[in-house]
Amino acid sequence: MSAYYRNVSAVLEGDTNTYWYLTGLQNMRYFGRLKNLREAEISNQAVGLLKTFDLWDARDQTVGEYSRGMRQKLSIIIAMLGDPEVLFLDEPTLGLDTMTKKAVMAHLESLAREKKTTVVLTSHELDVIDAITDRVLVLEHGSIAYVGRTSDFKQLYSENKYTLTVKGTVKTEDVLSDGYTAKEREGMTDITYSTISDDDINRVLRHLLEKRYEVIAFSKDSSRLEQIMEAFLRRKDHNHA
Amino acid sequence: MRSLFRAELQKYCVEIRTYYPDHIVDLVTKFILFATFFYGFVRGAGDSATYSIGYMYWIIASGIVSELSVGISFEKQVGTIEQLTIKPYPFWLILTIKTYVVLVVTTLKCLLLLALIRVTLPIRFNFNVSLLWILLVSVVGFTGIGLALSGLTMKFAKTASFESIISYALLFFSGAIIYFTNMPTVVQKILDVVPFTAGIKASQQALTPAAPHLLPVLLWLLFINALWFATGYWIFSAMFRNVKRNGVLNNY
Repeated sequence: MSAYYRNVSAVLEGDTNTYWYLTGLQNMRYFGRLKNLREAEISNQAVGLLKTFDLWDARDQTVGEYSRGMRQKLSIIIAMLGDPEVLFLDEPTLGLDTMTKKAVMAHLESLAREKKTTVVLTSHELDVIDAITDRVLVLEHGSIAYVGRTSDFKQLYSENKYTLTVKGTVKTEDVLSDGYTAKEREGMTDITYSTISDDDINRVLRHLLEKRYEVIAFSKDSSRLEQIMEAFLRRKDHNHA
Repeated sequence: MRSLFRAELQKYCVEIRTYYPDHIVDLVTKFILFATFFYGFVRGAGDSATYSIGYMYWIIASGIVSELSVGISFEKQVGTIEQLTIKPYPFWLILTIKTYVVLVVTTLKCLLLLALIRVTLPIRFNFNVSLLWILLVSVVGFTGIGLALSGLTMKFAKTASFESIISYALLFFSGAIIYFTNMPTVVQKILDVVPFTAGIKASQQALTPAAPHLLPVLLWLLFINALWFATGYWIFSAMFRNVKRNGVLNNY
């Protein structure tokens, strides 16, 4: 059991894993010692990790003075002490500002890629899951509804919907399809095609470009996990009904 | 193990430094209580050495009980308890080391208090090295009681609320205010096998001119303390298993 806990770390409930009256460095020392790491090992890793996560300048401040994002990063750093083979993270980006969230995501990705750490995370933020996971497990009412590669999940529940955002108003005859919805907002038009083949969407795109419309964005629903999850939940609701 | 002790000691020192007013208030309160009981019940009527030993044991025992129940309750509220349960060291060992750190710090506080009492009150203290051995053995039993309370606090949020009752009950049974010989015989028999009171009695006997041999006293103390530690450990383990399976109760 001792060896198991030496190779496994966890960050639970984000920013409540540290002692607020200790400084960032004191927290690292305390938890490092509890992992039975040598003093020199703790110091060396602390310098590297604090600098990587931009907490070096705040190392001697008490955690009570840290922002939520800083506490979150410190919790992850502490969990990374001793290079665990498996890292469990519970909602690691919850409540973080955009920049900190991106930084945490980037660090987790590099941790998995460079140090070959297995990162298991739970999150309600689907953009985070979408951006950094290889495999996903979807829980529904306490049971496993799906487990497998994230890309396969997106393909499996894709409804082949395409969304085009075009500058200005698009004439009806230029839409070239029946199964669509269009919505104008702030000088742009969002057109969503719900039943269209790959060939037809290419034809629509070509046509719009020939007609000199400015295409601002183009995406398929399977490119975003959030849309796929909506489709997945709708399908489940539909089956239950 | 040394690493664990160092970790807990340094953390506790920072905690004391951060919350130093609480410790000053605690010291002053304990001084006032000592003086009140001394002038109210002991002076002229009793044996001040007996009283002082009971009182100091009470400070140490209530410090340990408080740390292991209120401390766990605090860890639960701030969310650090889960972190302590997933470390290579077993959780009971972390708590036991915490107990010994509290013992070291509380003993230092006791010495400071004794110095203060010695300077301000007409009281003399005798010291015998046997007292130190008896205290060290008695702490084993306190740790068992502390572990049991930690387990209960982990599971039931309100356990820590009873800490004051336990603490003042310990004062009552410390023999500092009511001498053991004045208590009912049944109570005296029960107190003989409670590590806290057995330690106080042994310490009091060690200071008398006809002090018994230390070894048999220590062996008896070791036996009952080991028994209390084993019981406390068993309660803690049962609660910990339950918490791991069903989660902690955070309904305050």
